[in-house]
Amino acid sequence: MEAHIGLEQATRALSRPGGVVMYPTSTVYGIGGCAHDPAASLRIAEIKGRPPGGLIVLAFEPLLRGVLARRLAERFWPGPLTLVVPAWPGLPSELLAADGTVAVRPPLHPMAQALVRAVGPITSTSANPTGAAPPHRLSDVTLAVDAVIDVGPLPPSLASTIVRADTGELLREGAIPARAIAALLAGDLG
Amino acid sequence: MRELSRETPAPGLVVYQPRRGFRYAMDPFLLCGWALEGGRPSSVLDLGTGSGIMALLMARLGAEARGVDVRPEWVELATRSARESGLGASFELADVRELDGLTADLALMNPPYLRAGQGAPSPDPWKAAARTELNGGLSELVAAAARNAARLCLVLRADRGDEAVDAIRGAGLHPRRRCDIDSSLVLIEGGNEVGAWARERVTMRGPDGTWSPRVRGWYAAVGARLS
Repeated sequence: MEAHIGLEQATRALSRPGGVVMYPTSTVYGIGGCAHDPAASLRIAEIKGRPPGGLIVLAFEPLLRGVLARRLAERFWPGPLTLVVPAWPGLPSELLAADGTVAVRPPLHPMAQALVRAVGPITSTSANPTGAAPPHRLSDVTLAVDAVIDVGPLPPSLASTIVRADTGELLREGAIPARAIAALLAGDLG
Repeated sequence: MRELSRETPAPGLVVYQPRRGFRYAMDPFLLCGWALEGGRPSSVLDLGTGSGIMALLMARLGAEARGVDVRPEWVELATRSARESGLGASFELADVRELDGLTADLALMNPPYLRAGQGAPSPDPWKAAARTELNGGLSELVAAAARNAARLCLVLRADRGDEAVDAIRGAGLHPRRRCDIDSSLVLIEGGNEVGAWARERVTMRGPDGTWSPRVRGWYAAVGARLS
């Protein structure tokens, strides 16, 4: 299997308004578009089915505000940590949770990293219709996207740990143990 | 009333600027992308902001961004661009030389490339202020940046690179990085913290005539389209 198959096509697809591509993440295949492109976010919601299931993550390293958010990022990025931070103005509303937060995590898979280096901030959510299982191989899923980066089956791996960065609240324990987050928070507060 | 053009250099980003006269080129995108390689600022000051393009790019990535310009027309235009883009960047009318007491992580500057007296200033007052040092020389502007930010990144014409490094030293900052782009532009970084000096030379285009990987990377880093 050619390791970089589809990267150029995906880059070209994301340079067009509304472009949506499927690509490997560190856990499952995901779909995404340009983070600041509202047309792409709308299309992803349509592709996944309404209401869109699962978390839509901003897959890049934003310019974080807040001491705790920066400390968590410095300690655990690049790594399987998703930070939930207050959204900043200018993001498409489809990316925002009801409480005005947004989830951010720089990509870990080399192909997703290459995509971000080529086109800038992108979004990421699992490439499955709402209610279906997240796909580990492309044969598991058929979605109407503009390009696909295919690296073959993805090995099973733990999901990311999710922390609310303004309060330190652990929202999901994943690949980073809760005790590691707690230790950093204790050090930060101590 | 000056005729305006409405640019969309990146998805969701609207920037107004005069249709004729001083218009941003590639410099702000190159500088912003390069500046992010030296650190990820939470707060950014864009000194002599003009159209506001650099503050807008940084606000779009999540930073608290503030642009300052001595010309009210630019402040009005940049504010309009921020509003229409839905961004939180703020713009204020002030002489950069009089700024004090701010504590930004990063100051960005795309200052006038010509010294006062170097050729006749443009008859267009917007263009004259942007191109020629009519509102302070480089050392004064760098000193203002040093008073208000922990780190400074600026872009200048290539032949003023050494002068910019001297100005950074003169302002009490440590020169940290320099990037010469062809023989046309130079990017310079200084900061409060002592660090190793790094210098690189970059070409705008590769041997095949397309944009070089470095240039493409800087545009992507700020999520802008490179045509």
